[in-house]
Amino acid sequence: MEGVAIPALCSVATVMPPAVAKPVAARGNMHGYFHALFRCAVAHGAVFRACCPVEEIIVDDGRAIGVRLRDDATWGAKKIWANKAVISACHIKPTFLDLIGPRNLDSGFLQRIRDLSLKGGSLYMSHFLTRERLRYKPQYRTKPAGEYGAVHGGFFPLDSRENYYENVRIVLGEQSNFDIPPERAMWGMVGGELYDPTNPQSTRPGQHINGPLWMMVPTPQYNVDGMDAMDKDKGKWDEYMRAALASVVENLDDDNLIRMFNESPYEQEFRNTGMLGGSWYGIRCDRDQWWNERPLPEMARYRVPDIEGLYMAHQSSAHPGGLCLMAVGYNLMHILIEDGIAEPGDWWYASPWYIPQDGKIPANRS
Amino acid sequence: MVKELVGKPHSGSFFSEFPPESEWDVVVIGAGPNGLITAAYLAKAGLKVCLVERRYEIGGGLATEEILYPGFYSNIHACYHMMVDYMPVLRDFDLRRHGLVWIKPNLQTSMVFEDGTSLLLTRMLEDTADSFHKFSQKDSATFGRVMRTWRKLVSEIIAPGTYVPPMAPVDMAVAMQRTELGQEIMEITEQSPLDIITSHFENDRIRALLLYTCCMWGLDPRETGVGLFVPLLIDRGMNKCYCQGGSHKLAASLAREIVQAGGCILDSSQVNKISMSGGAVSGVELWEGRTLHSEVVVSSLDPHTTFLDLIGTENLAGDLKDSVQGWTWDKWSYNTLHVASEEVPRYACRDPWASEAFMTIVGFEGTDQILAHWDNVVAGKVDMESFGGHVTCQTLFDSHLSRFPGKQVSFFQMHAPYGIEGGWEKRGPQMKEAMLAKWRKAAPNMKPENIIRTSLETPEDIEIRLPNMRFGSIKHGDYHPMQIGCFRPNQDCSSGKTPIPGLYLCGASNYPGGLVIGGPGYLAAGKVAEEMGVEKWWKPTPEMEKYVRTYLE
Repeated sequence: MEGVAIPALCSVATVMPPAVAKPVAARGNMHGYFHALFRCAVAHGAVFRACCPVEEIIVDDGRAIGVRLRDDATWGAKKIWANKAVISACHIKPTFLDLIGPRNLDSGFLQRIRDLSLKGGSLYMSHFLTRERLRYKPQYRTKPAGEYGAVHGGFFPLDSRENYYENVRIVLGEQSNFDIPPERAMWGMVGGELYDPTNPQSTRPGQHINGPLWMMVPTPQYNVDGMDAMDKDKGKWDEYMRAALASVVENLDDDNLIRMFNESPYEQEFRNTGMLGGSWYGIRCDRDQWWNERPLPEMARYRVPDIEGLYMAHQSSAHPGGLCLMAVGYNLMHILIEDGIAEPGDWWYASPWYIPQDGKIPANRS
Repeated sequence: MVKELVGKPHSGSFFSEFPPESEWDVVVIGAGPNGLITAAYLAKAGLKVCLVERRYEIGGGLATEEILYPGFYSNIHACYHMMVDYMPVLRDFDLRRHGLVWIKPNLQTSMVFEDGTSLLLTRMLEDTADSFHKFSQKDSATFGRVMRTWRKLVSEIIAPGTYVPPMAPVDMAVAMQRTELGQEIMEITEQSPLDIITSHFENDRIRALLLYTCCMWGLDPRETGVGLFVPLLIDRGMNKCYCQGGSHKLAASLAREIVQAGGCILDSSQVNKISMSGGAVSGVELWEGRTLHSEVVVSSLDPHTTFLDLIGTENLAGDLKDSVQGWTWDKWSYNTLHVASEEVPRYACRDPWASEAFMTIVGFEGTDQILAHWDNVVAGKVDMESFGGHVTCQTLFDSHLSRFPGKQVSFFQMHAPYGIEGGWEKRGPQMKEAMLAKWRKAAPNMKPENIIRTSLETPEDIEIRLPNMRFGSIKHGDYHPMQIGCFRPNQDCSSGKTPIPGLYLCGASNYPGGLVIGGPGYLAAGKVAEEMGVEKWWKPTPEMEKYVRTYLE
C-alpha cells in the first residue's frame, strides 16, 4: 500500500520502544482520549447516536447508500441515509458477512473474508483490586526497587526460548486450553503505579487497581474444545491468572486481594463486537494480512471493490492495525479527499509521505 | 484517592494542551445533571463556559456504567425519572435530537405479598383503582377521587412551581389563599405523609404501597410541613420514565449541547479551591495546578463542599457559616445490589402482570413493617429478618444494558444507614446474601443458578463515587421544613445567587432539590443570565406561565 504503509511502519518502529519504556496515559485514562476526540467531532457538527446498532449496510445498485438499525435502536426511523459515503468502523468480518452479506457480494470474496485469520491476539484480561500495592519478589523488582518494586510494561516469564515455544504451541498449535502450569504461562501487565497522582486509577481510599494483566490464549473461534471452552470453567481460569501473577508477586493472598475483574476473549467479543475473537489485533498480524495486504490487498487503501461509497475504518482489522495508533482515520481522510467525498479546510495537512493515486484528486493540495 | 496528595497542587506532564491559566465567563463546578443544565443554558446564551468535573465521566448521578463487568451495564444511581413531563430543559433543547428516548410504562410499581397477592400502581388511573378494588372497594373509589384533585395540584401548582424561583412562606401563603386549589395545597402541606395516607385510605396494604411510594426518597413519614410532597411523589411515582440506553444518555445529550455551543468540559479535574479577590469570586484552582479565572463560579456541590471546603470559613459571614454548618443530611441512604441474571425475576403472585412492573416492592407486608424498617435505618440498624426494598429489572425496558443476548440486568435497592452497625465492609456481604434471600423468597427463580454476577453499591460507595452526596445523601441534604422551599439551602442562597459576589449555586441542595428534576440547574442559569445582563434565549414553559399568571400574579 504505497504512500501510507511506510510512514505507519516508521511510526510504530520509532514510537513503540519509548512508549513501552514510558507509556503515556491521557488524563481520565483511555476514556479521556475518547472524550477529546468525541467532543472535537461534536463541536465541528458531527451527530452521534449511541445505542443504535447497525444491522445492515444498505447497498443499492453497487453503491452504499445508508444503514438500517436494529429494532431496539434509540432512533425512531430505523434507517439512516448517506449522501456521500458509509464508513464502517466495524471489524471487517461482520461488516461483510453480516451487514452486507451474500446478497451483495460474490461467494469467492466472502470466502476470503471468512478465511481471514483471527489468531494471535486473543487475550484473557484480569485486573486486581488490592488493599496494598503489589509487592514484587526481589528478583523481579525494577530499579530503584523500593518497598514494592514496580512493573513497567512487564512481560513474564522470559526465562527461555523453550518457554515461549511452549506457550505458542498451546495457543496457536494445539488451540486448546492451557495444560502448562501457570508459572510458565506468558503474560504482560501494565503497571498501575505509573499514573499521575492527581489522576489516580483508584478513587477508593486505601485501594489499588493493578493491571490489566493479559495473557494470550486460544482464539475462541478456533478452540478445539469449543468457542466457550474457557468460559465453561471461567473461575478456574480466573484463578489461573492470579496464580500466574503470584509467581512474581509476594502479596496476592486473600487478605490483600479484594476482587478480580476478569474478561475472557469470548466475553470481549460481546462487549466490543469490533474485537472479534477477543483479538486485540483484529485480524492476525502475519505476512498475508499485513501492510499492503491488510485486510485484503484491494482494500488496503480503505476502499471496497465493487461497492461504491463504502470505506473501511476499523481500528484493528484495517491498515496499519490496532494498539491505538489512531492512524486509520487520518489515513482514510486522504482517500476520502481523493474520491471527492471530503473537502477539508485550511486545517488539513496531508502526510509528507503520502503518494497520490493516479486518476484521483490529490490529497496534498497545499 | 491518595489522601496525602489531596489539596496539593501537582504539575504533572498531562493535559499539556490545556493552558495552566485560562479565562472564562463562567465556571461551573460538577457535571451532574444540574451542572450540565446550567452550563448548557449559559453556553447557548453565548457565554464562554467551562464545566469542571472530578470524575473521569460526566453525569454525576446520571451514571450508566459497567458495574457488572464484563458486559453488563446498570444505572448505578438515577433510574426513575419523575419530572420528564415538566422539565423545561427537555423542551428548550429538544433533546430528542440526540436520540433521547423516554419509556413510561403503564405498569409503574407493583407490590408483592407473601400470600401471593399483589398491588399495582399504574400510569392509567383506572388500572390502579382496579387493583385496589381487590383489597378495598372504598379505597379504590377514594383513590380515583383523591387523585383527580392531586393531579390538578401537581400539574397546575407543584410541578410548574418547581421551575419558578422560590418565594418566602408568607408570600406563598398569601398567594395560595386566593384560590381554592391553593388553599388545598396549604392545607395538605401542614400534614405528615402518614396522616395524609391513613386519613384517606383504610386498607393497610394500600396504605403501605402509597406510603412507600411517597417516602421512598427520604421523606419522613411522620414529619408535618412536608405534605405537599405526597401528591407530587405519588403522581410522579405513577409517571416515572426510563431513559433508553441508560440515564447517562441524558447527561450525554446535555454535554453535546454544551460542546456544540462552544463550551468546554474539563473532566478528571478536581476543584481544590474557589479563589477570592476583594471579597468576590475570581475563579477556581484545580488539583493538578491549573487555574481557571472567572468572575462567575456556579457550584453544583453540597453546601459543606462549596462553602466550607472550597470557599473556606474565613470567607464566610457568620450567619452564612452557621447556616451551612447546620445543614442536615438525608435521613437515610441506599444500599443497592446490582445483578446480572439469566432470566427476568418472576414473582410468586397470582397476577403475572406484577412481574412486568417498572418497580416492584418486595419484603413488606404492611405499614408497620415499613415504618419499623425506616426507624431502624435512622437509628443506624437493619433488621435482617424484616426489611424490604424495591427492584427493577432494567432490561425489561432496555436491551442495551446487556451485551449478552437474552441475559438480564436488575437491581434490588433498600433504604440503609450510612453508618451501619458493624460497618459496611463487614455487613455488606451479609446484606448481599440477605437481599438475595429476600428477593428469592418473592421471586423464586432468583436462585443461584440464575444469577451470573452481582455488585453491591453501599451508602459508603455512593459517597466514594459522588463525594458531594455526603453520607450517601442522594439529595445532598434532608427534606424537612427548614430545608425545603426558600430555605434550601437557606434564604440567602435559594435563588441560586449567594451573598458572595460571583458565587452561584445550582445543585440538589438548592431549591427545589434533588432526584434529577433539573430545577436548581435551570433556576441558576436564569439567575446568572439576569445578573450578568445576558439575554435569555429561553422562555418559561406554558405550564409555568399559567402557574405564575393564575396563582402568583
